[in-house]
Amino acid sequence: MIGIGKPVRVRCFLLRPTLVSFADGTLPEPARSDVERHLAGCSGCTDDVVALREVPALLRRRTAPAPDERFWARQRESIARAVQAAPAPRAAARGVELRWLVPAAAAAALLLVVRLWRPTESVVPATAPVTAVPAGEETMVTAMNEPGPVVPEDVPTLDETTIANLGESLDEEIGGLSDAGLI
Amino acid sequence: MLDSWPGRAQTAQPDRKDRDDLDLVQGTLSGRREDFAVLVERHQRSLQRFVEQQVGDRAAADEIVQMTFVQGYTRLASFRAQASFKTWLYSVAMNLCRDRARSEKRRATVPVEDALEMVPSTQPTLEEVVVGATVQRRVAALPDRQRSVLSLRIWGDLSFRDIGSLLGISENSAKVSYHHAIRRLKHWLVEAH
Repeated sequence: MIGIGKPVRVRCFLLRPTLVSFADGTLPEPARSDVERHLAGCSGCTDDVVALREVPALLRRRTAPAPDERFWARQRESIARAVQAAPAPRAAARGVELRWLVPAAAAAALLLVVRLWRPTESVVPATAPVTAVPAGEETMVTAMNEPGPVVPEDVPTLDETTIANLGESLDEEIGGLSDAGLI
Repeated sequence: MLDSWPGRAQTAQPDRKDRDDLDLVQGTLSGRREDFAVLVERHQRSLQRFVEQQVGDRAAADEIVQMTFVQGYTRLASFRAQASFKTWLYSVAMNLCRDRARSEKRRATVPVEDALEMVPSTQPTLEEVVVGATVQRRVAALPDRQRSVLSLRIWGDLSFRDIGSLLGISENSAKVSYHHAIRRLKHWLVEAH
C-alpha cells in the first residue's frame, strides 16, 4: 500500500528529495519555481507537500508532554556530578593511547617472529603433486567441493509490507545515486 | 542551574551562552569544565526528545542522555570538528540507543500505562498522554532508517546533511527516507480518523 500501488511518474520519483526542501522553505530559485510549476499539474506531489508540512507539526504537538524545569535541572546536576568525577578529556585521550601500546607491541613482536621463522620441513606431503597445480587453485577447488548453503524448501513468500520496505529501501539508495549525479 | 560546576562562580562569563559550540569545546579541552555545562544546557532538551523517541521511555532516555554527555566529555579529545559538535554528540547517543536495543532485543514501544507514568507536574490531559503514546508507537513501527531520520529531523533539529553524515548515507537519501516516513505516518493518521 505504501511505496507501491499506484505508479509514480519518473519526474515525481526524482523530485522527492527536492519536495522535502520545498516544503521546508529552503529550496532556492530557480528550483523553487520549477517545483511550483510541477505542483500546478500534479495532485500527488501537492498532497506530499501538504503532508511534509502538516505531519511534522502534528508530531511535535502530539508527542509526550515535555518534562518540566525541575527535570532538566536534576539532569544537569547528575551530569555535573559525573563529569566532576570523570578524568579530564585530554587525560582520557592519553589513556586511550597508552591502552593500545601493549597490544600494538605484542602485534609487532608477533609479526617479527613470523617474518624470521623458517620451517625446517615442508608442510605439504612429499607425494602431493606440488608443481601440477598453481598456487591458490587447490584452495579454490576445495572451496568449490564444499557444500553450499542449505536453502530451505519452504521459503516464505514476501508480504506486502516487506515488498513496500524493499521498494522504499531501493528508492533511498537511488536517492543516493541521484545525489552523486549518477542519474 | 550551572552552580554545581567547578569554577562557575569564580569565572562566570556573561557571554558564555553566546559562544558557539566549537569555542566551548576548546574551552572544555583547556580545562574549563563550566564551558561544558553550557553545552549540556544547550543540547539536553533536543537530545532528550530525540532519545525518548528512540527508546520510547522517559526514564531510560534520561539515563542515556546523561551517559551521552559523560561519554562526550571524556572522549571530547577525539572530536575532530569534521561535523558539528551536535552531530557528534548525537552519534554518541545513537550508539548508546543501539546498545540498549540490542540488550533488550525488542523494538521500543510505549505502552499507554508507561506513558501515564511519564506525566510531569504540568499535568497534561489524559487524552494528550494517550495520543502522544499512539504517535510514539507509530514512529517506533517505522523501518529503522526512516525512524532515525525522522527523529533526528523532528526532535533533534538536525540538518539533512548532518543526518546523512551521522547515518553514513547521502543527504538526498536522508531526504527520501524522511519523505517515506512522512507518507507512512500520514497514511496511518488518516486511517486512525
